[in-house]
Amino acid sequence: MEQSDAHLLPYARRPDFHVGRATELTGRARVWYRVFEIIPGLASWGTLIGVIVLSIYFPFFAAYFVIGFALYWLLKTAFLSFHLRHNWKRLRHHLSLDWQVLASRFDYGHIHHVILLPFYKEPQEVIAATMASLAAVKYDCSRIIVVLATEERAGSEAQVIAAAMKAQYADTFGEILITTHPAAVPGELAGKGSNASYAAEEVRTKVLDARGIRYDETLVSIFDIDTVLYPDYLNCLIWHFFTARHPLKSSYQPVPIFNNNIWNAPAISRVVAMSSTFWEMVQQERPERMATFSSHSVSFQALYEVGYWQRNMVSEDSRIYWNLLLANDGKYNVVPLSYPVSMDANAAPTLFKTIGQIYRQHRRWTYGVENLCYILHHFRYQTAIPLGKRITIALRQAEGYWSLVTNPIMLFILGWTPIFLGGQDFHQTVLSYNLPIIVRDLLILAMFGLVVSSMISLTLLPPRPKEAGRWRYIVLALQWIMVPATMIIFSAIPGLDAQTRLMLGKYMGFWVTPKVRIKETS
Amino acid sequence: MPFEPQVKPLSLLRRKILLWFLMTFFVLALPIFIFYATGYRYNFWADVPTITATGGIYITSTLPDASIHVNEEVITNARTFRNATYLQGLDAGVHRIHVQSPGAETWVKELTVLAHIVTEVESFNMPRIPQVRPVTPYSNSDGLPVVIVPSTTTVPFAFASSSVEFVATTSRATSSLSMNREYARVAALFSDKASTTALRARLMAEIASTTARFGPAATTSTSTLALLQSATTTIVSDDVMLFEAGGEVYVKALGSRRTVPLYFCAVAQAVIQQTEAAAASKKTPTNPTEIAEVIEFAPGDLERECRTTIRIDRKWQSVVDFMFMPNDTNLVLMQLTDGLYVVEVDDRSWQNVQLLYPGSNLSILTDSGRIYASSTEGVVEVYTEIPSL
Repeated sequence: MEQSDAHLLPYARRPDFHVGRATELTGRARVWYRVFEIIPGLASWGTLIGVIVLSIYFPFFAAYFVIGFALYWLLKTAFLSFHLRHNWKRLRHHLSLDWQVLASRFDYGHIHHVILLPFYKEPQEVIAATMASLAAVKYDCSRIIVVLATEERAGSEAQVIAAAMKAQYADTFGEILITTHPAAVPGELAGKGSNASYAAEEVRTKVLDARGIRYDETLVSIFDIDTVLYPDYLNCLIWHFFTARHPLKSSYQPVPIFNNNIWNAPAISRVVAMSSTFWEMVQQERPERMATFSSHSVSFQALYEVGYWQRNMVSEDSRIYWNLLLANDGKYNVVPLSYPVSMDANAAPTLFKTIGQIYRQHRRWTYGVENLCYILHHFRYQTAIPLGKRITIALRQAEGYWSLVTNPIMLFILGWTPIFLGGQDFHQTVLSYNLPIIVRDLLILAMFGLVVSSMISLTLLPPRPKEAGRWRYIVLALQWIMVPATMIIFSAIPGLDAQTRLMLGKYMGFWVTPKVRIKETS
Repeated sequence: MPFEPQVKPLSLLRRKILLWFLMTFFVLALPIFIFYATGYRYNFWADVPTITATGGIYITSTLPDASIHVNEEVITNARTFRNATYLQGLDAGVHRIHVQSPGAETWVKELTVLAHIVTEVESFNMPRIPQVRPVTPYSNSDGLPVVIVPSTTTVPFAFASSSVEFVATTSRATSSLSMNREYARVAALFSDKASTTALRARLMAEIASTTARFGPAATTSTSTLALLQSATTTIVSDDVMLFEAGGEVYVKALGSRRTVPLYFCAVAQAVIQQTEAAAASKKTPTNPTEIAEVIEFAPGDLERECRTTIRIDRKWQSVVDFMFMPNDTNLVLMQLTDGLYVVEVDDRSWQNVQLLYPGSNLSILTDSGRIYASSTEGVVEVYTEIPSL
C-alpha cells in the first residue's frame, strides 16, 4: 500500500479526511462527530413523536400542520414529476443517439477505461452477463482494462470464477487484472469500498504505471457486479468527459435501471427498484444536488488525489463524491449522463426472502446518512468552500435524509393522529371531520403522479420474453398502487432503522445484496 | 447528425421559475385550505359575496338508500361514509333535517348548528309495514313454518309482511311436521320472562299496599326487596342505564363526561339563543369580504350543560315493557298499550317515536340481537329493516 501522501490533495492529507465514525476521532472532534451522528435520528424521531404529542395537546395546530404538509407533498410531487418527465425524454433521446458519432469529433484514442468490478460470492452467471455486455460495447476494447476485484474471504470459488472470466475474455480487452483483497485488514470495514480501493491501487501499480498510462487520461468506472452496460455507455461517457467544464474535477453518473431480471422479479421488488430509478432520474435534472450513487465513473487522477474510496464505511459510492468535493475545495461536481446502466432488481427464491433483502438493501442505502455527519464535521474545517455553499449543501442533505424517513410516515399514518388523539373538543369540530377528507383528496391528487410513473416505467422495460404473457403489462402498470406501502416499508422504516442505529452508535457493516437470476416459470 | 444531444437538461432558470411558482401557490393556497377546513365558506352566489362561518351535521343511518333533507331540500353533495353522512357548509342556526326511505317511517329533527362545530345525530327509520318472520313450533317437510289458525278465513299476521313463506293450517295434526328448535328456545325465554314479570307485579302490589309508591319502602321486608332486585326493570348496557320510576322510563348516563353521549350535553341555552338571534338578524354586509355576523365559539369555550338523565317519550300511554334496542343504546324499545315502539333517547327538539309492531297483549323480548314478539297469533321475529330480496 502506498505510504507517501504526496500525491494527495492538501485537504485530503488531513488525518480525519477518511473518518468513518466518531470512534475514529479523539477529543472535541469526537464529541462533535458523535453529536452529528445523533442529530439525524433525533430529528426524525423528534418529528414523529412531536406530531403525536402535538395531536394530543394541540390538535388544532397538528391539524393545520397535516393539511399544510399534504399540500406541500402534492406540490413537491408535481415538482419532482416535472423533472422526472423531462429526464425521461432526455433518457430516451440519449438512447436513440449514436454516441460513437457524437464522440467522434473528439480525439479520445489515448483515453483508457478501467472497469472495476468488485464482487464477493455472486454466481458465475451474474458475472458472465456483465462481462458479456462489456465485451459488446461499441468501443475499442483494447483500451479497456477490466479489474475483477475479488475478496480473499470469498474463498476459492471467486478465484475460479475470475480465472474463468479472464480466460474467456483474455483476447477481448486490453487487460484483465484479477485482484484479491486481503481479509481482516486492520482499520478496514469489509465491503465494496475497501475492495475497490485495493483494486484501484493494484491497477495503478501493475497496469497504469507499468504501461506508462497517465492517470488524467484514465477513466475509472466502478460497477456493481450485476451491472450490464448498454452498448454506447463508454461513448456517452467519453462525450460527457470531453464536454465537461472540468472533466478531471467531475464524476459521471448514469441512471441505474434495474432491468436485468425485471420480468422475473416480484412486483414489490419491481416497484421499489423503479422508484429508485425514478429518484435518480429526478436528480439527473438537478445536478447541483447530485452525489454519486452505485455505479458511476470518475477520472483516475481525481481518485488518486483523494486516496480512492473509503475503506472504513458502508456507503462508499456516495462518500467518494464528498471526499472529492472537500479535497477540491468545493470545486467538484457530478455530471449526469442521462444514460442507463442495467442492474438486478432485488430478488430471492421466496417472496419473504425478497422482502427481507429489499429491506436490508435499503437500510444500507439510507445509511448514507453517515455522509451527513462527515459533511458537517468537515464543513467546520474546510473554509475554502464558501460559507453559503456549505450551509446550502448541509441543509439540503439534512432535509433529504429527514424527509426520506418522516414524510411517508407523516403522510400515510400520522396524518390521522389528530382525529384519534385530539380529544372530544377537537373531535366535534368541522376541522376534525374535514381533516381526513382534505388530506385524502390531496393525496389522491398526488397519486396521479403514479399514473405518470406507471407509464414511464412501461417504456423503460426491456423486451418481453416469450414466456411472459401480454397480461403482464397490466400487472406492471397496476403494481404502482403499492407505492404508499413501499414508501413506508422500504424507505421510511429502513431509513429510520439506519438513523437510529447511527444515533445509538450501533454502526452498521456492509451487507452484500445477494444476486440471483431466477428462472421464469410458466 | 448534430454533435450534441438535442434534448438539453432542464435549465436552472426554468426550474427556479417552477419552484417559485409552486412556493407562491403554497403560500396562497394554504390559508384557503385551512379556512375551508375549519368551516369558512365564501358564498359566490350571494348578491353581495360573503365569507360565512359554517358548521356541519353528521347523521348516521342504517338505511343505505335513505335520502337526507335539510330544510326541505334534498342533499346530494354530502360525504357519505358506510353508514353515515356528513353535511358541511351549513349556516349557523336551527335546521330541520329529515331522513326518509321508501317504505320506512320518516325521521325528523330540528338541530342547532354552531359555527365550526359538527352536530352528531343518529337517525332511524322503521318499516311502515311491520316486517316479521314467523317463529312457529313446527315446520313442514319443505322447511316452511306452519302457522295453526283457528279457521280457514283467518289470515295470520295480516297487518305485517313476512320475510319468509309460511303455511297456514287449521289442522292440529303435527306428527308429520318437524319441531322447530328456535321456537322451543324462544318459548322458554318468554316463559321465564312471564314468571319474572308476574313475580315483579306481585312484589310491586305487595309494596304498593304498604307504601302506595313505586319503589322499595323502609317497611318492605328484606326478602321482598331481594326478590324485587332479581326481578328488576333496570337495564344497564355500555355505561347507560334504562330504568322506570314513577311510571316514566328514563335513560341515565353512567360514564364520564368524555364518554357520555353528546345529546346529554346540550349547548347552554344562552348560547343557543345567541346563535339563533345572530342567524336571524344577519345583516347584509356592504363589504364583500365582511364576515356575516354569527356567533363563533372556540370549542373549549362552549358552555355545555350536561344532564345525566333523559326521560323517554311514552306518548301518554302506559308502559308495559321496555328495553334497549339490540346493539344500540341510543334507541329504546317501548311496549305501550297499542304496540311496540322504537323511541330515540336523543331529545334534542323532540324524540322520534316509530311504531315497530302493533298490537295489545304482546310480550316482547330480545335475544342474541333479535327482537321477538309473542301474541295470540304466535311468535314472530320483528325486523327493524325491510329485508332485501
